[in-house]
Amino acid sequence: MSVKDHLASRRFWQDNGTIVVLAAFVVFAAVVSQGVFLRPSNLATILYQASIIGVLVLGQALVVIAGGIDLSVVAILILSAVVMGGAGSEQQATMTLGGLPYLGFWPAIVAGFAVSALAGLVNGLMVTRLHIPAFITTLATALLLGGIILLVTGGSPIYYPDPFFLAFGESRLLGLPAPVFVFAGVAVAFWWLVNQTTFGKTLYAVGGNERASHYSGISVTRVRLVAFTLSGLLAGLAGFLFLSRTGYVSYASGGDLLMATLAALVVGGVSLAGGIGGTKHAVSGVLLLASLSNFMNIMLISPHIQNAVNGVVILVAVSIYSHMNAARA
Amino acid sequence: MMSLANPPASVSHGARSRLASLLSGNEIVLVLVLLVAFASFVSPVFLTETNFRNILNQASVLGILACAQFLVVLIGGFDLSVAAIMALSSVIFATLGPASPPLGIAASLGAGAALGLLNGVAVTFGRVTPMIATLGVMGIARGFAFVVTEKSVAVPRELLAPAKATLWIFTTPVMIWLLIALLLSWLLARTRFGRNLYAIGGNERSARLAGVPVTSRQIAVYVLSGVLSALAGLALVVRTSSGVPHVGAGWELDAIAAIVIGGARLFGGEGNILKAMIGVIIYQTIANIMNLASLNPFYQDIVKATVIVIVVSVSVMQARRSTRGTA
Repeated sequence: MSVKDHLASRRFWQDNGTIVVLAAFVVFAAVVSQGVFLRPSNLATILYQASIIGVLVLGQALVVIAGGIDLSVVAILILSAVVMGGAGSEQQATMTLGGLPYLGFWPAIVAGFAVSALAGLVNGLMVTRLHIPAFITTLATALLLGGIILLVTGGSPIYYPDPFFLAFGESRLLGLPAPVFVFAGVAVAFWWLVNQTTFGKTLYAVGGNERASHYSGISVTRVRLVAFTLSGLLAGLAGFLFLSRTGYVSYASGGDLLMATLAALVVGGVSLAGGIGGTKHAVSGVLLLASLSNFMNIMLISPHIQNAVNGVVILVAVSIYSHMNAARA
Repeated sequence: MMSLANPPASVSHGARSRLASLLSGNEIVLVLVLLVAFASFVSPVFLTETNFRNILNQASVLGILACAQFLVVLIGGFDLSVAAIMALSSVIFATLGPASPPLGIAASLGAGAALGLLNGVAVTFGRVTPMIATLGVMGIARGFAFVVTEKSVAVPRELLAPAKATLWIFTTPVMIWLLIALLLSWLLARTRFGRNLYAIGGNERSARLAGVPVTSRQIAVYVLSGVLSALAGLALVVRTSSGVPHVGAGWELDAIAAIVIGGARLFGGEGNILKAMIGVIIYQTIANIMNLASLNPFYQDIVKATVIVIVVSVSVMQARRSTRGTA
């Protein structure tokens, strides 16, 4: 009885620990900031910040659950934003120094998504066919895309995209910025994909035990290919949101984003060893880190100290979760 | 047991495989020779004393980071914090050094050791995967570097004068690098500590069962990596005469790529540190050739990425072939 209770509570903390911490943190932040944190406009800001990184994190989560890692998501995000913004606006196309041509608005959007999915597919092919470890593959892809971004833009930033982007970023529905609804939509789709489909089951199987999955007739290659391709596609969508926010993107954008996506995953309790964690974990990790960063901004804490605080948060969160996971195994 | 009962495969084959076995293990030297030959065709400037001094001088800081990375990769880990610790060390010395050089050096190395210890404790007692633990520490080190100073700090010329000496093509950072590499080579080959590291990287569980103090060795390696990274920071100060908080973004990965080119096994347990250093020189030489050939810098990342992919896939294919052979 008591053992069962103990296990039940451990299970509870594994599944809901970050949500409880998030709730506690919101109360703490509200009290310390004397209510500023809880102002509707501030909550909308947090959700807006969370939505770009959230879309990126959900894509990354697919790869991570399948036992891989995608270090190229930020490079894909920037490439997508550069293509959508640079090739989708005639004014911008004349100002870009590189070889990026004017394609027209919709063709550029399609092209942005297409290159993103293609980059993801290439990652998947290198991991499954050449058997290069995912982190090296995707690192090389990130380098490669960095070179391509510099090449097509000639190093000049994109600052004159089609007016649609800024209009989309500023549009509100029920008081919330439109990108927040995109994030919510992706989260629902993600939940459906990993919980309600055969693909979702195979994703966890491959991440939990690749060899056993292979022997049970699961096509590990296909699962990984799909996961990497979807991760690329979602990074492309995040690029769309990124461009909508400020109407500006350059090859140097997105410096700390990669670390932030991994941090959100592990803080939410998605195991980087694969096979553990779902929608709830990824989303609560994103919201917790976005709240923490917003709170530190309100308290006027230097961004450099914030960097250090994030590092400590990662270490503590991962350590707690991996002790819990080890006890469960 | 099978391999003991049967003669090694190479004995039964002819001269071709004997040539292959002579080359195997030393391909890296051949690669370097071919690269140098190629480079001297591409640019008449390549084969000059000044250019060699440049290559080595530029390779030195990455080389020291690669030494740190090599130790961690050898035991089956990764250290993504090496470059951030280097940056932190460079700004600590640039800030404290002018008042008291010994204090500056001690504080830099102390910070490196402390952050390395944090890595080690997180990986062992905290059970955090090395990649994430060292990613966290990377954030901490980088954050502190910017807390020490937001902008680059120039170091007075007089302070560095004794360290600016050169011996033929060897500058001080290069000599520090080579000394570290030789010391580590001895440590890895000739001491119980060094052999333990190979055992841990080969199979951590068996090493533990065989009585290797795995946890304390792992912590020691991360501390050593932190100290070496801090030393790289000091070498960087000597080279550039400044401490820079944002320096070296991505160098931790360059260090991994370089040692893998030099034949270190990405998943631990195998590798020779001196060959890994040849990997560093090759990596730097490729960059040097691209500069001398005035290749558009935009293409340089693309070339680098291609080199990494080719080298790692060859290394992975070799690893797969050798496991298939013994299975």
